[in-house]
Amino acid sequence: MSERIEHLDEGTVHAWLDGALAPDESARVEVHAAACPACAALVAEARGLVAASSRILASLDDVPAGVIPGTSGTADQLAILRARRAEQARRWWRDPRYAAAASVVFMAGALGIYWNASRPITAEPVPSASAVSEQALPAATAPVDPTAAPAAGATSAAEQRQAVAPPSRAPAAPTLDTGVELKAVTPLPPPAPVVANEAAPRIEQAAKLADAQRDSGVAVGAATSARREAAPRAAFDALRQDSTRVGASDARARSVAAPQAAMSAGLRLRLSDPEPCFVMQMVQRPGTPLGAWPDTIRLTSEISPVESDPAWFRAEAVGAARDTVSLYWRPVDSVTVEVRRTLIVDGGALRFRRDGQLPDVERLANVWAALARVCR
Amino acid sequence: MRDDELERLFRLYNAPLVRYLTRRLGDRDWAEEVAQEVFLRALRQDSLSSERSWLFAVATNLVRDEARRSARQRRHLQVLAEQERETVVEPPVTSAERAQETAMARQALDSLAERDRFALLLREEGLSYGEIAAALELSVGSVGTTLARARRRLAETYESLQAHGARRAAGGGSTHE
Repeated sequence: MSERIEHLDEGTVHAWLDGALAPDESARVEVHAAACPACAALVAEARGLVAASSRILASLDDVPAGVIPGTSGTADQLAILRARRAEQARRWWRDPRYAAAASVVFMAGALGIYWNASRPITAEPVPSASAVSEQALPAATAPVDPTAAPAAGATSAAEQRQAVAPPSRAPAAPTLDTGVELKAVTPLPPPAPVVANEAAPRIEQAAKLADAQRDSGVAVGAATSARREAAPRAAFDALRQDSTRVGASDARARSVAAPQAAMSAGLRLRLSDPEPCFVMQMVQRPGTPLGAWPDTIRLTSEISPVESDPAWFRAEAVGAARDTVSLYWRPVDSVTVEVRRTLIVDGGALRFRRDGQLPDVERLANVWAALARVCR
Repeated sequence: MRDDELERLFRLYNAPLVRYLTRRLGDRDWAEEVAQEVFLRALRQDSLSSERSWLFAVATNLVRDEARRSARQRRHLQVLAEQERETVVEPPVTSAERAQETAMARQALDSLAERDRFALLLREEGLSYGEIAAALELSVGSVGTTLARARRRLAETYESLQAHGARRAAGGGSTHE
């Protein structure tokens, strides 16, 4: 006749105190706490912790402010905000997002011309965004073929995945997305001289849309979503353009030594099917063990549901972990994408960079680096 | 976004955002700047469903990025700010005791894991469990345990700092007379 008593766990108690429980569960807790001395003590302790935390945190509000007179207080802050908004609207072309878009398009165009014009492969790396430099990514200055893909076939290292890719890849004809585009949001160095003609009208168009949106204050819904959806496609295109052009010079590839790091966990990144594969170098920030990441990640063009920043899009885990993991990605620059498990707390991020430069393992003290091959 | 909409959002959420950020960053001017950035991003949205959770999620995101900047850079800014304060504004008179409480609270808060810290600060601004879950990409069911852990750790760390300080004040920090 003895009932099995379910004692309260800490999380439930706090949820109850915070009013976060459903009515029936809340009632259950209340009844139990009244009857069970142990749990009643737990509740009392929890109450104390809740109150203490609030009190402790309140002392953090005691911080001097108002360094610049006339800037504190809601009215002042609102005025400042309005001024910044007006300023932004006037100088849209200086907005980092547009500048980056312009830069990326110009650079992608410039790179294309370069590759087509001069056959010999001295790897002139795509200028990386300043934001990337914080990573200990290797400076790609050595004369290495940016696609180690075919070269890998020549190596003796037991990189299994390298065997999967065909030795000579016929580049797929890229279908350029001709929609309105906004690309990487990372500010890039000033754009090179205009090379790609199709870039200019796109930027103009994008700017006009944004201008219209701001000035009218009305949601230009279709244009906005088209703009946002076009961003990942544009990123795909940029990456794809680079890879296919580089792929065209596969025949001239030189052999490259296999990476010393035996961390070939085989993490693969691929774009939405059917995208060509190209070599991605993965540089992982510390914070998340590699085992916590799915084996293969697929980038989609779907806007991240969290929408905490329009630049984030959804990525998918391919395979078993598909339903349990949510992933987000964004283009960092024209050759780098970043993938996260969460946008908020620091759970570590993976960065994939499309170049064939092998990392200098000695320098990457804190990061794991591996070559990941993306396959069709 | 229309200006009256902006104003509505601002009047509702600026103060809690600034308080949240001040607690996290320890610097009100910096917090106000970040809050500005949050609203500027809000302007780019056509509309916000679940405003509070969105705004705090963006704020958290921005602060997370800030925290990654080199500590040296931040210290430099702090030094500048302090110099400014000396010349421009006299800080409000804070008793030594209050200053000490603030320092201990900061240390206690810093001892929390990042996610726990954010969760607790968001809860203090009145966000619901659902909003916290959305802002931090947690499951709603885990918010309770996260907060329980955070509160316990905060209180216990604070308490031990207090006791340590009291011991030091009493005995001069040494074990002999």
